[in-house]
Amino acid sequence: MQTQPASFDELYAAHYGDLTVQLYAYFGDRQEAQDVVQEAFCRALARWRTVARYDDPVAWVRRVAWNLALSKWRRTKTALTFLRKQRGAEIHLDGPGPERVALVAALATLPAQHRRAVVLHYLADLTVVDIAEREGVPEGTVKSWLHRARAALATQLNPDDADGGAR
Amino acid sequence: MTENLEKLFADLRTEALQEILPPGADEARRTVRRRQGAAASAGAVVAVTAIAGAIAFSGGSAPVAPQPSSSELVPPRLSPGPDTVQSLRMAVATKALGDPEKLPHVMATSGVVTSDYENHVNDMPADDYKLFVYCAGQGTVDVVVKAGNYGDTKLAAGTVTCAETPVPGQLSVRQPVDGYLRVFLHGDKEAAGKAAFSFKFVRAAEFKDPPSGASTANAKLAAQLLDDAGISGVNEVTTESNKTLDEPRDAGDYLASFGCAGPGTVSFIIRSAKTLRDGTVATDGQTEKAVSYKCTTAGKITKNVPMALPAGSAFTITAEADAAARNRAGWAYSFRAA
Repeated sequence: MQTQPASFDELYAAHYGDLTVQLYAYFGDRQEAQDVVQEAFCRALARWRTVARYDDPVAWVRRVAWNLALSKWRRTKTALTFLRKQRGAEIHLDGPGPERVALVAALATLPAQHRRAVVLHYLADLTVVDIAEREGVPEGTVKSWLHRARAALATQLNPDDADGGAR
Repeated sequence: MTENLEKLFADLRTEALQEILPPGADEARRTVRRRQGAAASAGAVVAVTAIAGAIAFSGGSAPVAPQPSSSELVPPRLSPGPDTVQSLRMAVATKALGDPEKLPHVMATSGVVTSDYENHVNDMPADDYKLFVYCAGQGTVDVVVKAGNYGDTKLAAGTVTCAETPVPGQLSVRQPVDGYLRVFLHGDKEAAGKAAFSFKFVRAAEFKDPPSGASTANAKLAAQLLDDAGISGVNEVTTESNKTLDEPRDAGDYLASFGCAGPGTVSFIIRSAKTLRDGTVATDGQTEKAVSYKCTTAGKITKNVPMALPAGSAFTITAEADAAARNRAGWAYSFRAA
């Protein structure tokens, strides 16, 4: 029996939040992440006839959102610079807990590829194979990115435990 | 640390999800409707015609772009923030992109011109596009568009001249398959590090010619022929673009009739297609009838072709006009209960 394709509303309801969290972890800016993901869904809706027939419409939306994120990044100097400047101030804001602020700030210090790999792995639940395919690189490269990212995050988040926790 | 990291990310997800307020699927629909409405206005056609030619096509002598450094997606480059002049020019270049509500773009970006800029666009659906490139400042920028995420297959190339009030350059780009393409910008000495650029991809289909008087008249003639043959519920259609029209019906037996008038050839495909849960009619339905018509000035019709429609589906009728028929011929159709 053939599975009925998900409607646009179902796809939106099921994935808007998760995609936004991924982009938020990448940008460090929740509002910008929300804007980008909404735009990605608008583009999916504009060509819904085509997108609905894909095996994995969410993957399409995710790719568009990430591409928009990278484009925006290029246009607006760098969120990294912004985050580095804002890091001290953000810690004093109400709202996000200190661990989350520290994680987002630590992510911002990673090279873009490492950050993307770690976000896709831990927040999008993509496997190393999935990330390698998506980024067009060998699996070993992704493993290396993840290892370095973990090591860097360990150093940032817990200077006493800086071995990276390879797995 | 790994387990701790997993917990940190899980907590981040949980916390952030509670704070995210989705604008909603309906808001997305409103946005898309607004853009489609704006794109359909004839004003866009005039604007494109006026700016075409600002890029001098370089043909076989396309500027040589460096090979991509690897097959990896190139990460955003960390660069110092733009100075005041660069910022002003970036604002000009960004503004030049125009209002996406009026002319929706598939992708757009801007930045400071360098001697060696590269942008990987990783989600371009196979389609025909117009690439608009703006350069605010002085000097020139070579533009090269290459297929895929590696290799040297050029899709388009040209040179755009910078100006304080940028005149857009335009390239036609055909993306052969869904996926990657790359845009390379190479500023000359005057432009690199001083001028600002912006570019956008717009689907070529956004630029529609309005239906001509001849096509409208021929559509009426085709409809009249069907009327005269006793066919009811006839719809007239012009040929300024290829069209696929949805005809939702209840399950049952139907009689399809269609015809055309005018010059050239119009190919019709009638499908019975599944209706998705949000009401969208899928485009990959079963072909019920396919015929190519050499239209005539007096008009030509096919009437009462029997076909059955299963539950949960709808008819679609697609008509493709060849060059001779495009925006000259007209057609008409009807689906009636048998």
